[in-house]
Amino acid sequence: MNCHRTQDSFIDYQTGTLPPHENLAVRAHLKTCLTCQRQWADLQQTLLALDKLPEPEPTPRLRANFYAFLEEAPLEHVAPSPFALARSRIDSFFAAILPSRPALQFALTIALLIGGVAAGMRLIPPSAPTIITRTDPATQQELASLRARVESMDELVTSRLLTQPATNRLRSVLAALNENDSNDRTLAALLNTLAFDPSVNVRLTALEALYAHVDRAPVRSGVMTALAREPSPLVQVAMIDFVVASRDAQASPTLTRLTRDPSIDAVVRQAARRGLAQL
Amino acid sequence: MLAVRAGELSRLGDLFERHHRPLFGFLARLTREPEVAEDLVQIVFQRMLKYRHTYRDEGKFSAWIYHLARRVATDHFNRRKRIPTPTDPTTFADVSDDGTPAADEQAAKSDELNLMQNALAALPSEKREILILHRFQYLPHDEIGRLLNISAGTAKTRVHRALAALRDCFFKLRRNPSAATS
Amino acid sequence: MKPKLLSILSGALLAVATLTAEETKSSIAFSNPTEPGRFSARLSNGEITIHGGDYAEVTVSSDADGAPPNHPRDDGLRVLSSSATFSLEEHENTVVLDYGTEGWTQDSEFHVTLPRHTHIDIEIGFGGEIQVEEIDGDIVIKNLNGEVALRNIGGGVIVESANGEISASFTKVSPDRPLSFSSMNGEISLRLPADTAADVRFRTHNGTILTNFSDDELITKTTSYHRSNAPPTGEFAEVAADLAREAVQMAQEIAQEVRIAVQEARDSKHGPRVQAPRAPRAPRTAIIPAMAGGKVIAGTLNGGGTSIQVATMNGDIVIRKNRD
Repeated sequence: MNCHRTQDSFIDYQTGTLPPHENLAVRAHLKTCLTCQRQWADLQQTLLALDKLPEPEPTPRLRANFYAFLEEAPLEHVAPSPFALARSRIDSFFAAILPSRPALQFALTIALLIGGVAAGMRLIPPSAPTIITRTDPATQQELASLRARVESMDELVTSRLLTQPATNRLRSVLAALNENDSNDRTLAALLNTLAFDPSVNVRLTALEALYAHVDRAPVRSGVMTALAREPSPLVQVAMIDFVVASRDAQASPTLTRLTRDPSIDAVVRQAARRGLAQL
Repeated sequence: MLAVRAGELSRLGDLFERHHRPLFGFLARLTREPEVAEDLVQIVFQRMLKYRHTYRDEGKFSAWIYHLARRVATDHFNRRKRIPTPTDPTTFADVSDDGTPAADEQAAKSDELNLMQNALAALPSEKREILILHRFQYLPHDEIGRLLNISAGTAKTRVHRALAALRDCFFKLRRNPSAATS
Repeated sequence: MKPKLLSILSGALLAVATLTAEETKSSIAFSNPTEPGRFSARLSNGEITIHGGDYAEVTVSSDADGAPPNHPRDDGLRVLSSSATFSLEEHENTVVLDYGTEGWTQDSEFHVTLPRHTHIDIEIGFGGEIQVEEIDGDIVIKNLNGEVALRNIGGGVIVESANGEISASFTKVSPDRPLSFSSMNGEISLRLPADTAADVRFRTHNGTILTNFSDDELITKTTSYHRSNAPPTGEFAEVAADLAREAVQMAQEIAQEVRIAVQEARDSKHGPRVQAPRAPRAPRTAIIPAMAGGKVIAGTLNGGGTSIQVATMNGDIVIRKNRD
């Protein structure tokens, strides 16, 4: 065995994983070769010093931060399948705007947009956010009939979003943007896209299409609510631009909440601060 | 948003208890900045939660963690390259990146340990990483191979070479301690 | 219609320097090759390169293993593969390449050739490098980390990336094939034919917007917020809101006119049915202005046409003219 092979075998020799005949060969070589003896000694010293290096110890901060993260916002870090994503965004969107109501009830407010401006105006005063609080019996009946019409709103949103490839969804939104369609059904579709579409690019385009209708209270409230649940900082900043440009007083509490939320990207928080300064 | 089930949360907690120390050790040695390493550990667990749906096989779990950890570390280094952070000169003079503070304790440490720290720090990052994986994380060669997408034999060779480089560096520093520039 | 499974053509052993990697090559055909098919790649991580061309089928070469033929041996037992495998299936003109979605896997490289007119859909969970060349179909890419490079593209594009440079060069840009790029960190650079007609919307927070199209070709309106010399912010926002209101007003008036025209056509007893005149395009609405820092540039390239949208947080936007 020559020096080169011997030295190559040192590690295995050390750990005793050499086949027996090679083991003997190394031992024999070492007995007579001063160079290799030197190398071996050096290696031993190196390994000894290496193994003596202390183990890095984390501070208590590590555990504290981890359990804080676990408690606070595990939701925002989940990236499940696209189907589950659409479902879950629907749920959280509803939960944000109507914390104590079932999701379907919020679908009704979207349905009201579809149902026609007149019906909508009666039920949603122009300056109020899209929350149905108290209603009289006549309105209840109207709501009930609308409820029947949008029983599968959930399915509609999900299936429409997911069976269409992103390019088609983008085209639909661009069509709305270019035609400047103020049709309520279109607005509802745009708000749904903004809230639920899995593609950042499509959501951003939906937001831009909605800007033409920034004077409509349901549109502004819809954007503000979507802002609270939007995962992409890119879209968040654009939404901040949107609500600030709309000069809506309702935007202040939303933006303030953003500046205080530590899980939000720092750039977004800064943008929210800048936006607040202008409201 | 899809509610993270209580079971999944407690599972992540278990995983944390079981794996965070070696994970921290790995990242701390790799980055040589324990505070940064703590943040990176956090990010690794965040990604574990985020991508938990892509992991099924229990047996290779620790390997998955290293896979994630390496990516998190790479992102960190890339970010550093783009936005150079002013380096604190004191971090070089005192190479006590073992997480223990106290300057007076540092005086008690033998010169040899310091030399070894410097030698390790002086290695190119790929060599340092494979040494850390083998000698501190105790990963077997085949697992290192899978992690780095090389064969077990190649992994072994690289460990050898890294050790040789470390040895050379260590002894060079021993002969000439003032050569320990950073 | 039963999905067709892959057929492994050959497993070539390649000796590459100090590594020996076994390369798998699989091909699969579209059910209806005359219609542009879809190719969908779902990878957890790895590199993928796609070459479009005059190919009859989809061929995938990889250093990962193709799924073994799913039939039992003579003794009735099936071989279970524990190494990283990918699957390639076709169903109703869509070919799906799946890798790593059953469990984490090591990085693998995929080289794909397929017909030029195929529509492409790539999603890489953890991230990896993506390269697509010579494709006229629509391309949708979702990537986490890694460079995305598109060359000689003739169709619509949507790219969503978190970290990594995006670069795209186009041989053709058509009115109904929109382009949209979004990235958190990384430069986005586009190379367009000199005569491209487009409506452009660029948005960056911490980057610069650069172009070598001339002032006559690319006519833009900049809206950005500069702390020092901003107009009184109230006024600015009001102007934007006014513009929006005006545009809505106009659109409503136009819609009204169309309704009247349709009504009149219906009322007329003689003569052919009149097609409702297509409402003239309402004027472009004001782009959402940058109120919270950042830059927004909207405008037209060579008079307007295809929608080109680029949005990034930290990264420059570079728009170049193709030098033919």
